[in-house]
Amino acid sequence: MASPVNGSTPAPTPLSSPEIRPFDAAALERDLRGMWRTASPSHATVYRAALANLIVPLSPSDFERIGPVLIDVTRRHPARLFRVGQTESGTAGGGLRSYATALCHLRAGGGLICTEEIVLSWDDASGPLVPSAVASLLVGDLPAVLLELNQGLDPEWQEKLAGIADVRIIDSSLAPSAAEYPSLWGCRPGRAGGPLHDLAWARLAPWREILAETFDRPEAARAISSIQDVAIHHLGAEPPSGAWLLAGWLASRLGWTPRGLAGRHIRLDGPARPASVSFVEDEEDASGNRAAGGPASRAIVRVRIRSGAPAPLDVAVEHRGHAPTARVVLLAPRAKERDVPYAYRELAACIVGELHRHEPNRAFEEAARAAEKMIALWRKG
Amino acid sequence: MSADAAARGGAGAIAGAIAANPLREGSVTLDAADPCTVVVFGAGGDLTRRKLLPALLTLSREKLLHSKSAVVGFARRPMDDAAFREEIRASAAERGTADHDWRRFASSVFYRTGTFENTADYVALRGFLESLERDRGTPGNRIYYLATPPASYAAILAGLGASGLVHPHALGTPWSRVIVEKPFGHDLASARALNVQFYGSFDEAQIFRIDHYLGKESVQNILVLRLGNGIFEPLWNNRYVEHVQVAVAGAVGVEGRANYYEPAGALRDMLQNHMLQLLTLTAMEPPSRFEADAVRDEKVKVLRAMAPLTVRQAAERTVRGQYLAGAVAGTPAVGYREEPGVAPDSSTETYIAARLEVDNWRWAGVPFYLRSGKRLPKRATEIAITFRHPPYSLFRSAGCQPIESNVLRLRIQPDEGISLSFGSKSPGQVLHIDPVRMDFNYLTSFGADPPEAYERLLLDCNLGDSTLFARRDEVELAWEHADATAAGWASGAGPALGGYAAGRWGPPEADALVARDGRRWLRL
Repeated sequence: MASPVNGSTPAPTPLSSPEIRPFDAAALERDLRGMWRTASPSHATVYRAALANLIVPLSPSDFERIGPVLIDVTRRHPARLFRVGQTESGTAGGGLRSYATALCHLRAGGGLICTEEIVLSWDDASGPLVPSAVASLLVGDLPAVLLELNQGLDPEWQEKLAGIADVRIIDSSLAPSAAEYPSLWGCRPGRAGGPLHDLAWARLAPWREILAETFDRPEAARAISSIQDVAIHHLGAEPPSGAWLLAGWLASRLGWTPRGLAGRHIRLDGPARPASVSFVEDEEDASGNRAAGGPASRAIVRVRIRSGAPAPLDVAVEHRGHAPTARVVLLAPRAKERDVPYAYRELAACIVGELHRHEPNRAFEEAARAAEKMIALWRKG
Repeated sequence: MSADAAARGGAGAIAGAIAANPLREGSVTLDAADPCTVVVFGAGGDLTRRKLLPALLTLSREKLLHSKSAVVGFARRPMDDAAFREEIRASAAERGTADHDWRRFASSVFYRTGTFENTADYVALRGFLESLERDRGTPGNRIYYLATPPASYAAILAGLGASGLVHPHALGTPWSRVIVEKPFGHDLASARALNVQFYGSFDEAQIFRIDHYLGKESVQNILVLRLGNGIFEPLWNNRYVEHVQVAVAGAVGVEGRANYYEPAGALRDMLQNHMLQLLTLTAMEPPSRFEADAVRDEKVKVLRAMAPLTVRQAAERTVRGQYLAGAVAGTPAVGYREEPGVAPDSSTETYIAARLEVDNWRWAGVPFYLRSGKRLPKRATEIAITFRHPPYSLFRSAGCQPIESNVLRLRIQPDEGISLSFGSKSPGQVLHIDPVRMDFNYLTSFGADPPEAYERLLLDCNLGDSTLFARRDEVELAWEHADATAAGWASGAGPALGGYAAGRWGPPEADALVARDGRRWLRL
């Protein structure tokens, strides 16, 4: 398995014991204690930091993609990291195996700041033991967060892992189709009342910020109750989960109730007038420039909102990729364009943002409930 | 967004519409820094190079400054933009700033040469700012940072006013704000006069009097600890608190600042501002809202509840000392009177200790001991709350030594954090109770050092939030206390200036001050 130590910092030898062995919770705890005892003499100062237990099920192939993100996450939000992965077939040494090591980075003022990492690998036979193994090593007074960035795991096994978590973070954009979104949004951590967060929702923050800002000005504020049409343009053939959540957010904020489907338009009843939401595959993307895989390949690229009388407004917000600005195009009542900051966040920043939430996110939950109703109509159609 | 920010215009001008926007409800962050130009007067100075520009660079890197914002240095020394940028590049490199972050920040940094007394230089500055704002598409919001000696304030304020560089405080127009460094005056009369000068160009809502202690994360955490947790506030009164100690210890000497320090001393340099700020944050009542004026109202009430010391009280309840030759941390140190620029017969105090009382329902009978000094054994700032003993000493009958009081320490610097000491049974067959400590440390919890105070304060000024800045009445009340103490000292009634060797914890009289009450200073 690849070295988990931050690439910018040489691996501090006394801080790691990377020998993978049959799982033994007591031995791992001894390793961890020993790691910190031996750390001090050889390093000026070593700070062991932790704010959470972070449990991340990963397949070996995911590690290449997610490993650097996890290192960045623990740098920004120190946590005892449990990296849990199934042994690839043919790998020597079956059963539940583990090792403990440290993820360290240099502190600007000198010394190393380190977090602990426990790597657990399992085979088919030992899979059911994983939740109990993780539970035995959780730092007792810190929240346990299950971060699910892998859609390929056995749901039953994943639910057992969720049973020991206080907070669950998913990424619904990894699910292949809208049919799966409602069940993802309905899943909960094992601890009663614990929150569920969705990285697809976190990625929407700049879209929500810009769209809200569009209606801040008094002259535009009047148009909000006369919105009659929302078109969400996206990459990929199917609307991504973020597009559904954005539609759900608008519906929940504006008091719209999904009523039916007219062609590709979802009809909604609003307090003042009916409205419709449609999803449009981006023309450029549809013509063959489609990127493969990942949330970025199914991102929202344009949102157009039209309001009718008495406050007609036609406005579109456009953004692509990692651009630091989005373009706001006002088409009516007068033509005007401007660039506004788009607070793009990398995956690690999105995860850290959700790790800071200790309570259920009501806005997300309401948006998800509204989105679920729209998905149900869409699927019937 | 606070009501203060809303009233200040800029982003606040549309606060009403924002509040009515259902898309803002519950999910979207409201506070975003307006684009603005930060004009630093005294841009060639140490403060600018060491603190202000690095703080602005960090804010830019963290994308907390608006991308269209700019920084303009203004000082006497002839220099062009490139040279000014080069001066700050070293500190950018020290902070590990990525090249693209540096380039983006550097492209928004400019320099203009000028003298503070020359009106024509302000007119030229105005032309430059207007041109810059046109080019960058910013609405004309400005922060004027006075990073200069106080003697220059009058000339700068006159220049700003005469050249029309200050936008009047009004809704919906570009805003102008001014940040002024401490010391804000050298006594009550001069502070009042300075306020009058500022009011010639700025309203109170536009004036941000900086006390960088308030920008420290651990100082802000005082209120979070007290008021954000259920367990502390019920104990935060004279029923449970036995006494409070506020310590601001420095290991360095006067450090080439004799011109400033000689007339100021520890009373004006530390007690009047930093220490009283720490005291008021510790002793204040919970505000009704976490907004600038609500918080500052409560701090002012604490200052009002402390009667300025009479001549006799100044003699009995304060200690003044001056460091003599000695050694600090293994390095020999000269005495204060041997420092360059210090009069050989100087009577300036480099150490002050005081016993203050807050005469209100919550704190009656609880002494607040304050101490601050230079050339003490180490640098440390902390607030220590010592709790009363339990009403009955159960374990004494079992032969145990008296248990030490529980002490909650709020460490401001270094090693920012919080610790609580309590008694615990030592392992073994015999009942021994030893003091142990529960410790919260920013590094071991958050894995990062808290941000620099100036980052927070500059951002708050940009956002129009003056919670962490001193208001006029706060400053003037603090000067009333300092002046009363100084008058007591000047009366000849005492206390005498006590000497202490550099590297010691102050003069013996300081120990006697607390020993009279049966207490001792806590070890820092």
